[in-house]
Amino acid sequence: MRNLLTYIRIRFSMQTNAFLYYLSKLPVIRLFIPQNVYRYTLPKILVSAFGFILDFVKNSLVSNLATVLFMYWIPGTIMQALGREEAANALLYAFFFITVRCFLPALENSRLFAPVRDDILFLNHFMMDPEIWYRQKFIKILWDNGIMTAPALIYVLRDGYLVFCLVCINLAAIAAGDYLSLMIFQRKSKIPERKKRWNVSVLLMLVLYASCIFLNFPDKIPDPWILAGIGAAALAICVAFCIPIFSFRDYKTVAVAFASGIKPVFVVQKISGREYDEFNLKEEDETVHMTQFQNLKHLDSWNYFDRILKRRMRKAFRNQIIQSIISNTISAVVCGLLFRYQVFGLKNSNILQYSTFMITTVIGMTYGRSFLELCFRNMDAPLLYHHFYDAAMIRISLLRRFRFLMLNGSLLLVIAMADVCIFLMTAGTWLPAYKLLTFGIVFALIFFIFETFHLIAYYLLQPFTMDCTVKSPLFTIVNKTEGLLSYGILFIRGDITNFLIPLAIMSLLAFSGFLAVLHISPSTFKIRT
Amino acid sequence: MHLHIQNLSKSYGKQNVLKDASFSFEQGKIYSILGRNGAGKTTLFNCINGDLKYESGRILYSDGTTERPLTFSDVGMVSTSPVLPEYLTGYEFIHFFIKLHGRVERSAEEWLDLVRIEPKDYFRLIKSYSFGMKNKLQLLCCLIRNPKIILLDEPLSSFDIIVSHDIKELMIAMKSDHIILMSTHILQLAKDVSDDIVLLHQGRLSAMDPEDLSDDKFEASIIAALKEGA
Repeated sequence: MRNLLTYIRIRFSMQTNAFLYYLSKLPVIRLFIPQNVYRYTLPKILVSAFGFILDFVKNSLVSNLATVLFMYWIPGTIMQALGREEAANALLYAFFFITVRCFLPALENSRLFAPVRDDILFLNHFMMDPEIWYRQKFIKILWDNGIMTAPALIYVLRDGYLVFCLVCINLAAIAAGDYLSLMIFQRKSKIPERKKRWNVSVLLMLVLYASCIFLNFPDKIPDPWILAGIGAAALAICVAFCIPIFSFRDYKTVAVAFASGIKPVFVVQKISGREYDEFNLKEEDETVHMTQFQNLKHLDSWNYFDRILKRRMRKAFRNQIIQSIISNTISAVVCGLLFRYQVFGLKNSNILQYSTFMITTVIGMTYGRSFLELCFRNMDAPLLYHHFYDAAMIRISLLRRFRFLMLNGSLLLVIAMADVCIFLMTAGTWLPAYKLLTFGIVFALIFFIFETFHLIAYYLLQPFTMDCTVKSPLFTIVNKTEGLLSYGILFIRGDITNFLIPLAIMSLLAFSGFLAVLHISPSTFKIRT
Repeated sequence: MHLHIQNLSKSYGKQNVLKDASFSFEQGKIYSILGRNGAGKTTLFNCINGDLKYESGRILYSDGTTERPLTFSDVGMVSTSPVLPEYLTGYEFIHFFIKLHGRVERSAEEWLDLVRIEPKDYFRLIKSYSFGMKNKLQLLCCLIRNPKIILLDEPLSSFDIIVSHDIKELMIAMKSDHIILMSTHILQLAKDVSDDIVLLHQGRLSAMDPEDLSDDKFEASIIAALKEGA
């Protein structure tokens, strides 16, 4: 851990430099930023210190809030709803901590294998020895996910021995989970698909919460010496699993498979190189290419690439839809329950006041940005580079992509409306037909505005270089603004049907923008250098 | 010190890139690996560097008495496309790099001077560096790590004449303590700096006959060898 300070300084120097770089691209402000601004180290050291403290507080807060939520608040609320408040005691919370916070995360996700940005930075750029890097990463995992949950445990349980025991069990679960993943990887050169593990762990979590109906734990906390004994045993198990993790010699293979690049794919998430292959994007057999070519050789270059892209990405497209259905249904059910049981003062009478949450949900379902990045990476970059695009073809591509995004938007609209129905049914209420229709129109307008906006930004600013680096600061600012807007909407209270007229006006603007970009795109749609 | 490649095979689907390739490389020499486009030079380097799994064969390091598989610290590779953190300045990057690798016997300025990165460029972001400058930084990283085996994939293609000359001199000065493998298409470079020329042709490695390396026959003999069986 002697390099810890250097890691922190590198991370925050990069962030400070990136911030200064983007500032230096802004009109007016750039006049105040000297050319040699990057040479000053003191501001970077200060930013590093401040950023480290901020990160520490943020991570601790997230980890502890999640612990309180899953071990205390959810079971407590369920017990209250079931009228079994007397059964909600320290051992029940400890049970949910062990199951939902220790074992399910260990089952769901190998934290050691999960790629993080630092993996690429330090393994690829700084050429760190993978053995050293992964060992340090594992210590950080134990600290962040194990020891850092102690404040939440103390807050909930107020018993030092029980907290010690639970922290040790958590450490043992983390070590066991990563050891298991490492063994599977060693044997099969891959680990089970993350989505499957996630589905299994969510299902188990729901079963565990449902078991609140009959769970009964004694009120009395076991004697301190028993808890200390269990804690010591868990610690010994943790050490036993840590030994093979630390003595593992082939972390280079792990790095190649999991940290070779965090690649954005259609599903809006970052995945490892290994999972990228699981999306069927790896090199295919040449006979497949030959058959495809024979079948599609009558098409022009754009259509050919378009068909191949959609064929190769079909698994990712399907995953995106399934992921939307699963996550939105879970959200709809959970939110419905909150309203049904009037948690946090949410009631069926004020349900429309909180309907703005649905705007953020629908914005989150749009995928124009990821889709267009994918198009650039797999199609537009080579076509632009080799001068296959002329003015007519650029316009045709814009129109076809517009049609594609609108068709997919229609499908997502159906899903969003189904989620509204699930939410209302779970909440035990319903809305008049005209309200539901207005909801549908609002959602449709949101899809229209945002997908059109993504297209406009892509064709107008074309931000990518050949290596898919974003070179347009304006594009980055536009994206960040979109993110802030989606987040800001969460704080607005009111019936979303009131947004109908502003959204209709925005749609007209978006459509006008689309027509304008259709006209000028041949001069703006170029590879950035 | 030797690097032994024994019966190495690697294929992509049905395409066999390396077929039982075998060769022994020894310390104190610079080897140029020559081959046609797609012959498998980068694949060979990736296998040696541990970035690619191969189907069969062994890659071993020998210190004269014992043989063992290569470890991370044994090998350093400079790839054709530099991979660097774009939002650090060149100076910061090298400063942190030497700290992480414990090579603080020279300052960042001294290291940067080695590959002729000018002081005026020290505090520019790497993202604003030219391709050649990025390659210089990557080569410098390899020098700082000081591995026993250095793999240079098309090393001088993006350098200007002065830096190419310096790098050639540097390679010659370094070779006594290292095994240096360099893939290149530039025959003149291969001839100028290499002690041995190894052909990668039809998935196999073979050494050029030293007699064929004389001035008048050099180019013709390499082309003839690479055309053989094509």
